[in-house]
Order: sequence, then C-alpha cells, then structure tokens
Amino acid sequence: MSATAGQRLSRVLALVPWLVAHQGITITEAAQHFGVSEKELEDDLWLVILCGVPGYMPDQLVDIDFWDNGRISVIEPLTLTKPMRLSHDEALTLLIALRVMAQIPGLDAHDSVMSTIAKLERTIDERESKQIVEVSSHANPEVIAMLQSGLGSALAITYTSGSDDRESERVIQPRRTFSVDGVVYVDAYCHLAEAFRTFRLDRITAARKVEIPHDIPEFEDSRVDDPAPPWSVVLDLSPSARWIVDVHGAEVLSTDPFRVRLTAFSQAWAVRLVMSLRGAATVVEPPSLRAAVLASAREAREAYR
Amino acid sequence: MERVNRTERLLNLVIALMATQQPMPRASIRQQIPGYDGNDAAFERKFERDKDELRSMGIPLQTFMDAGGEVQGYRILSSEYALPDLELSHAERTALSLAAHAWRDAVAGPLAGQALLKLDSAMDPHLRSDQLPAHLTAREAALLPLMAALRTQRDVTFAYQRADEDRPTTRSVSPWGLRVGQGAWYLVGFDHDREDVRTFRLSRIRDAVDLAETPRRCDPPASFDLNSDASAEQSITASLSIADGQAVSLRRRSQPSTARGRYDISASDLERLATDVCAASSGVVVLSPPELVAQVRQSLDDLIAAHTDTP
Repeated sequence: MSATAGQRLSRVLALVPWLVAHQGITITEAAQHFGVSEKELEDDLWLVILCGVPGYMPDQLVDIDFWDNGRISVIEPLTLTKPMRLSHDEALTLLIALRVMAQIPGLDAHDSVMSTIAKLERTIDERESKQIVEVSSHANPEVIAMLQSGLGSALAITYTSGSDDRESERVIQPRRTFSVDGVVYVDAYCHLAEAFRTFRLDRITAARKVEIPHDIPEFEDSRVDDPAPPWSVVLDLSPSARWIVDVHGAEVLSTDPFRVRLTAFSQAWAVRLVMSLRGAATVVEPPSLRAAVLASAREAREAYR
Repeated sequence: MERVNRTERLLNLVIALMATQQPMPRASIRQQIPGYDGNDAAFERKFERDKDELRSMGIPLQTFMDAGGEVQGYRILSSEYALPDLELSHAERTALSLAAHAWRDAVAGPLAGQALLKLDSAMDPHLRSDQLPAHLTAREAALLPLMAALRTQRDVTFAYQRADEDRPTTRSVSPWGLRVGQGAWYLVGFDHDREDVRTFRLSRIRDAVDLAETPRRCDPPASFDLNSDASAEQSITASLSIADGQAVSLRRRSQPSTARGRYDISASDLERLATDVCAASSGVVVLSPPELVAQVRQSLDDLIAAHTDTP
C-alpha cells in the first residue's frame, strides 16, 4: 500500500517530535507505534536526514542516528520539535466519533468524552464544526436518562420490534450500550426470551426500573435480534424498489428481470418489506412467502370494499 | 519515484518556512529549495500544489503582503504550527483513543490514526470490537472530499444514483453540512439544478466528487438547521384506524387518539405515508384523505396482481 506524499509527510512530521520525546527507542518499537514496517520506518528516517534548512550543508540538516543497535537518537531535529496541530479534518473526525459516544447512555467514559469534546472544539473553529456535521439520534430522552444513571438495574421496557412493528413488554437487564453509525443499541439479558438480546434504543418506547431476583447467566456477545436462522428470499424489483439493494445488502442475480437475493430473519419481516414496496417487488422464492404476501394484501384490501 | 521526491520537497519547504526569520520570497523558495527546478510554469504549478497540500494538512502557511498588496513572501509561524497542549487527563486520552478507533474500518480511519499519532497515542490493532463503544463504518469514498469541500466552502459535482432511476444523474451542489444518524450518512446542500435544498445519501454517490475551483455559489441561510428534514415542506393530515398492538411506530407519530383506534397523523409526504400503511397490512386502514385511500387501494391491487399465479 503506497501512501500519498501528503500522508507520508504527515507521518514524518509526527515521527520526528515523537522520537525526540522517546530518545533511544528501537526501530521495531517506533515502527509498531506508527503502524508501518521497519523498512518503511527506516526509509522515512533516510528521507528526513536528507532534509534541512536552505544551504543544506551537513550542519544544516536534520541529524538522526539510527545505526546503533537499532536504537534511534535524534541529535538535531531543527524545527521539528513539536507535533503539528491537528488538521481541521483530523479534529473533525475525532469530534464526530466523540459526539456519537456522547449519545451512548451509561458509558463509563461519559464525563471524559464531554470534557474532551470541549478541549478539541477549542482547537478548531467551533461554529464551523457544528455547521458541518450533525449527529442525530432518535431515542426517547426518558429511556436515555434511565440508562444514563447506570446499566446495573433491571428495566421493564416496551419494545417495538423492527420486523413486524408490534409492541412487546419485556424485562431486561442491560449489560452494555454501543453505537453503530449513530444508532444506539443495548445488549441485555431478556427475561422474556431467557437469553441475551440486542435492542435498538430508538425502539424502546417506555422504560421503568424494576426489581428482579433472577440470576443471570454469563454474558455472551450475541448481536441478533431474532433467534430464527436466516433464510434466503428472491425478489424481482422494478426501478422504484431497487434502493433495497443498498439498504439490505441484496445480491443482484440478474438485471433483466432485475432479480435479487437477500437474507431475511423472519417471515413477518419479509412480508412487511414486500408490502411496503407496494407492488414494486414481486416474491419469486420461497413460495410460502409469495402466498403470505398475497394473503396479507387480500386481507388488507377487504377493508376498502 | 515522484512521490518520494515530493515528500522530500514538501518537508524541506516546511522546515525552511519555519526556520526563516523573514517571510521567504517566491524567488528564494524556487532557488533554494530542492525540487523546484524547471521552467516558470512548472514552478508555479508545483508551488501552488504544494501550498494547497500543506494548508489542507492544517499547516498554517501564511502569505505576507507588502503595503502595495504585492506578495512579499511566505512563512510558517512555529507558535501556530505546533499542537497546543490540550492538557488531557488519562481518561480523556482513553476517550480520544476510543473515538479514533471508532473509525478504524471506515474511510476516515487513516485520518483518525494520524490524529492519534500527533497526540502521542496510536491505533491498537488488538482492540476487540466489543471493547469499542462507538463504530463508524462509512466506506463511502465521498465522505472525505465532502469534508474538504465544506472546509473550503466550495461547490461539488457528483453522479447521484437515485433508487428509482435507471442511471445516475449529475448533480451540482453547494454543500451545507453532513449528517450521520439512523445508520447512514447524508449530505445536505443546495442543488443548483433543482434550485432547492436537497438531502443526498452518501452511499448513492457514484465515483468521484469533483470540487469546484471557485467558492461555493450559495451559502446556507442563517436559519438553516442541519437536523431538520430538508424536504419537509408541505404537510398533510390523514386519519387512520389502527388495530391494537399494531403499527406502533405510526401510532406514535399521531396526535392523541380522538376515538378508540382512530389516529390523526401529519406527514410531509403522501407517498411515504402510503408505504407505512401498506407495510402494516390489515393492521391499518385509511379513513381519509381520499387520495391516500386511492393510493393504498391501488398498491394493494398491484400487490395482489403481482403475487397471483397465472394458470
């Protein structure tokens, strides 16, 4: 993988001050820290010692000794004694992730996330950074507040399933909260399912604290919403339904007809998806889903007689 | 080989401009810094490119003018170049590290890693994903050029594949902001062909994003709010009958129920509402307006026709 000149320059500008602060470190350790091979690091060092101030006589060049037992000593760093300030994009990248973290309730690091955001915002034009990127969350503030006060206690929740848009009442014991692209999830032991489940925070519509005496089995990392094994669905799509290729990661089997295969986790979810496409998607397989969609559409149509 | 030479030229330029006591004139830069040989045009091209590159990296390369407005020279002030001491506590360093790692599988991963290195920290390849509270998975190549376009306030042009169109169309947009949420990235900006504010999903931007040379043609109004839906203008009200325990997300959007099972819902888009109603099958029945009833009825007829086996 070859880096652009800019990326390499950025690494070199970070490397020299870091070596000044870590005199005598080995080439192996330095390469590891910068995530490059030892060869790449040595190439960087060779490049740096060719550079200096105009005139470029030996005493006007950066001087680094790295021949001695694979240890690196900076003898003359010239102007490269301090790391460069963060670029706008670097600071923004960190800020976006910190703002996403700030929205995860119950995070131990919450206070330090908030103070770090404040410190980083001082390094770039604050008004500008807010204008540029917004992190939006749709979770219920009361539910957030409840999880914010700690993950230890059991909660009775009202949960809207994503697969059939129906509500269920569950008692859960939250273990861990996390966010993927701005969507916050909570891993919890679910007393209804008697297993660990992952819940989307924005689908928890109500929550209250409850006492439960149950012992909970060892936590296992399970990122599934539904225990049923996934199965494969084949659909023909007209142009207005082709967005589902992106959104559901469907595999395009042919373009005429436009036929895709996608993974469904439950029949209810698949029926709902096809119904929502309003005739722009036709089920090819399996026949049971085809029949279920037909029955569902006929039943719904009855109301408009 | 060109790449190696360019890094060397850039590094010498940075050191020279930091070391100089007086702004360094163009002529001296050309004479003294290795790698600027060639004719006038070649020098101008290289030097302009190098200045842009350094500035895009955040290096405060300043242009000094004399009283007559002529460029006197260039300089990088160490005080502005150096990372200020953020006085980070141990816990704050950890938070920053977790923030950078959130990007590790995404297009901005290298950028986040670079930032960590400046902060005397580094990406840890052994960190397990369940140790990370936040994950940002954006693989859309458009993200970084759009960040650059927003920073430099320039217009962009890109090919956009609408879901319901066969081919991508070329869009010319003044970018106003990026939004992440609900699992996706969006660009909000002024679409010069549609002459209106539009929201674009980054995953539907095909190929490269071109940045215009000139400043953006249209700035956001003072009242602009990135979080409000750019396309939400007209509002319609529909009356629905919703069965117990069904279509919860629809019901949640309604005003308090007037009669049992009856809900009034405001929406900006009739089509989208029809989609939500159809998704709920027989759980939801539209009472009014008649246009929505007609749309849903038509959709159900289409669904029935598409799934009825012809003998």
